[in-house]
Amino acid sequence: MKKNLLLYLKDFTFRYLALLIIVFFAYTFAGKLGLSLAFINASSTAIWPPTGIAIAVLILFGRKVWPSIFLGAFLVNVTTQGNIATSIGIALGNTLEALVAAYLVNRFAHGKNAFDHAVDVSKFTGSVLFAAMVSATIGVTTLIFGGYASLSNFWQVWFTWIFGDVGGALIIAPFIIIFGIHKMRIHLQLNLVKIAELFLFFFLVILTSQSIFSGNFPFDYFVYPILVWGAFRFGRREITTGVLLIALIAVWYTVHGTGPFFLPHDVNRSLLRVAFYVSVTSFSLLAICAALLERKQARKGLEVSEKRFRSLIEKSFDAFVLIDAASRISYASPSVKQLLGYAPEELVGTVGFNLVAQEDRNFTMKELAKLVLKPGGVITIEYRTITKDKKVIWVEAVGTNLLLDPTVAAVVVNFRDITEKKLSRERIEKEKVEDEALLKSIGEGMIATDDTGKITLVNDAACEMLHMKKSDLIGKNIAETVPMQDGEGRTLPPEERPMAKVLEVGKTIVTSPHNYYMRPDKSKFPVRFTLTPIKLNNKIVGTIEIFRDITKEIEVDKAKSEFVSLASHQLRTPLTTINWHIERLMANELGKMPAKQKEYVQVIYHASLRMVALINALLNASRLELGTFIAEPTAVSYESVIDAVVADFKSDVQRRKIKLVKKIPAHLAKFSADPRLLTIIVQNLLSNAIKYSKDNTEIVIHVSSDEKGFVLEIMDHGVGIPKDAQKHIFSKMFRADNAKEIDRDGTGLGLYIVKSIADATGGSISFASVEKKGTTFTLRYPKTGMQRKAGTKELR
Amino acid sequence: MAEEKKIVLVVEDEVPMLQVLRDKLRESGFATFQARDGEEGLSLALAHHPDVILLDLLMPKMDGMTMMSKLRQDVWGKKVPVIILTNVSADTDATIKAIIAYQPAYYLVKSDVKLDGIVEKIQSVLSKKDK
Repeated sequence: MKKNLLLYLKDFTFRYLALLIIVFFAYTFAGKLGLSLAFINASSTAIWPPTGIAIAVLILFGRKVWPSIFLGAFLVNVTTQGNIATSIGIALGNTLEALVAAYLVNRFAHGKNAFDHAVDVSKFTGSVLFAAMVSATIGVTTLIFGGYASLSNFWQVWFTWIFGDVGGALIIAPFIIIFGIHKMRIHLQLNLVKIAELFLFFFLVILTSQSIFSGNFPFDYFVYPILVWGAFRFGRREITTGVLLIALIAVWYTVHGTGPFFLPHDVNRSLLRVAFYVSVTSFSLLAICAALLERKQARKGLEVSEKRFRSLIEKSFDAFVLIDAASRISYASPSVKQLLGYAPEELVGTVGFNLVAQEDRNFTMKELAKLVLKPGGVITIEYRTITKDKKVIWVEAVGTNLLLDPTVAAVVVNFRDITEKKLSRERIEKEKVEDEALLKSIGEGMIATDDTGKITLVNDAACEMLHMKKSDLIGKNIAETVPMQDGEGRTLPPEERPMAKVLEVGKTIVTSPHNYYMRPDKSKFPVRFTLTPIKLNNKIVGTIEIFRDITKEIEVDKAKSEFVSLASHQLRTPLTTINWHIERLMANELGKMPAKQKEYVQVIYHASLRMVALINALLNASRLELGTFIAEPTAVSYESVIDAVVADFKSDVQRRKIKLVKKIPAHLAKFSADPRLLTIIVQNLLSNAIKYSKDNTEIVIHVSSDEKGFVLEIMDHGVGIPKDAQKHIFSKMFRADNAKEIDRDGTGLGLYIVKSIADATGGSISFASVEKKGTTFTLRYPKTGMQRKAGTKELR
Repeated sequence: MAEEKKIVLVVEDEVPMLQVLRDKLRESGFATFQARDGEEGLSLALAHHPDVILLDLLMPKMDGMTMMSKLRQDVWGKKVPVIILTNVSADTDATIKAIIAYQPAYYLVKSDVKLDGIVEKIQSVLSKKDK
């Protein structure tokens, strides 16, 4: 309860209070005025304007203003009758009446918009009539019970009450509501004719009604033509004002004993007749106004939609023409100008086919002839048309046969420029043909798949190599259709095929030559392929595989390595014979050679050993070049590899009084490396260091490991590498000038072999050198050590 | 009492090499048999059961690997130490597979070893065998 009260108080705004006060005064004033015309009963009058006010404010402002009405009605009655109880009863009746009327109007006649439609005007009238009956019944009953009216004239009082109320409602309520909903704005456009007309209207209304009701002019219906004229020329505000004026004049004269409705000795009935007259007038005119408004709005709606439709056609890029039965153009839309270069008026009246290019004329004529025979039919055709500046463009035209439609009576053709589209279509076709030719002409096989491995495209070379037809491949899963084997003849499951990896990683893969493709007849061939993911918006949608049959390559490779192997055998055999025999000569077992002889034999032996070293180096280099050497890393101790190499050089080092300093941490982790390859590297680096060191110097062999991996440094204090030679030292057969001076026997292959091995197994070799000061070579491998490398040859 | 000489069978088709090996081995205190090809080598081996076999690979009539394969089928030949002495590098799959299968004691490349080195290897093989 408390809460509700608070909410109610909150609603008590100043505006609301002001509204209540204004309504109260208006109601009281109108009530007093109305009751001054009460002749049957002080409380029942034939003209009761407050009802109009009450209904209007309830509709405009809502139910909340009812207190003003109740108080107003009470005040009017209590000052007239003097009885509080009766006055309360009547006031209740009046309030109830207005509330019922407002409710019904809101419910059934669109509330304050009740005067927009003729139907709603009728509903408004009905609502008001019903409410008045309620009020009259309650009011008159109250009066009778209060002793202010007698039962004998119940009906007369009742009717008077009703007509007084209905009259008031029909004249006052529309006036207030219409002025209430129209924003009161002053038309500043000084349309003198209109103002003069308005003045004439009100002048005629006043003059006519004055003449009629003063009794000088007994034709009471004469107000109708004037009001109807007003309804057509002006609006509802002018009409309700006019009707109100007529009502006032009619009441005034009738009360004063003149006019067509005056009955001598019965003012009340006279006023009832007036009330009836003005009620009918008001109702009729409101209905006419509403009907006019409806028509006006309907026309306005029609205009808007027509305008919209017209501008749609005129601004459309599609051009429209209407062609009559004789194939003449009867209408052309403005957009033909953009499309064809002709203004619409240039085309109207001409034969439509004149615009069609010569070569398409026959076919378009035939199409149109077919269309004409089919009422309501639609065709879509493409043809060339010639613009005003003699350009040929392609258009797509949609023709609709509306010859039998009386509002059109033509074939409607709308057409658009499709030259661009046509050209790009041709371009795409051409590109497609080119692509296909390209795919046909490449010798490599090509297979494209989607991301599930389904084959979407193959070229001729692929079919040829696989001994399969395109139709055998497209749409099939590649793993099922083209089995793949590894070097050991094991068929790879789909997840082990390179494609799985490409789809997962999204990077291109080039395979080593250890895969074989199987043909349907179970024969197979070695393949090397490049597999590339197809990406669309960063998502892998498939793969493209380019492959080659490398049977020949493998054969050539094999022949080459066989040749190398045989050649080295053949070269080694005579050298072995020479070496072994010299060894026998020098062994003193066959008798001592003279010193000079021994020296010569020593030279021959040395040269022969050089030859053997050269052959071994060449053999290794050739294996490196073929990329076929094997790297099989195992966990090795860096130190033991170094010790083994150092042992080989023991005699050289002692002879030259070179001090070898090993710096290797005591607990160095095992290094994952192929021991033979690591030995070759260390051997070459250390051999160079010793060879190019000065006597009585120091060589430091330093091994370390850190976050990045293992580092081997071999530092000498030798001749160093000349600046201009530094960039060539890893080249095959390159020897710096100062190196040649020291050792004329070097093969020039040592560093080339070192670098080749390091590069191929994931390591790196670098150096820093100052001529005449010394050189430091640095070999780096990542923590993971040497990379495994499959191949066919060991290095020795 | 003087120790009985150990017998070395040398299978080598190159006569100069065969001779120099024979001379060196005899000087070093071994008794030798010589064969010029695999066939001869195999029959000599099976007939005389040498203590060590020095075996060349590339030879006429029967190559070294074939001879070795046949040798390994024999009850005695299964265990006899064989030192391969050749100028072919062990770089083909077939060679490596054969080495794994027939288990030679050494695979020596002729041009890379000295005569003294060969004698050392024979001695080391024999010392292992005696144990």
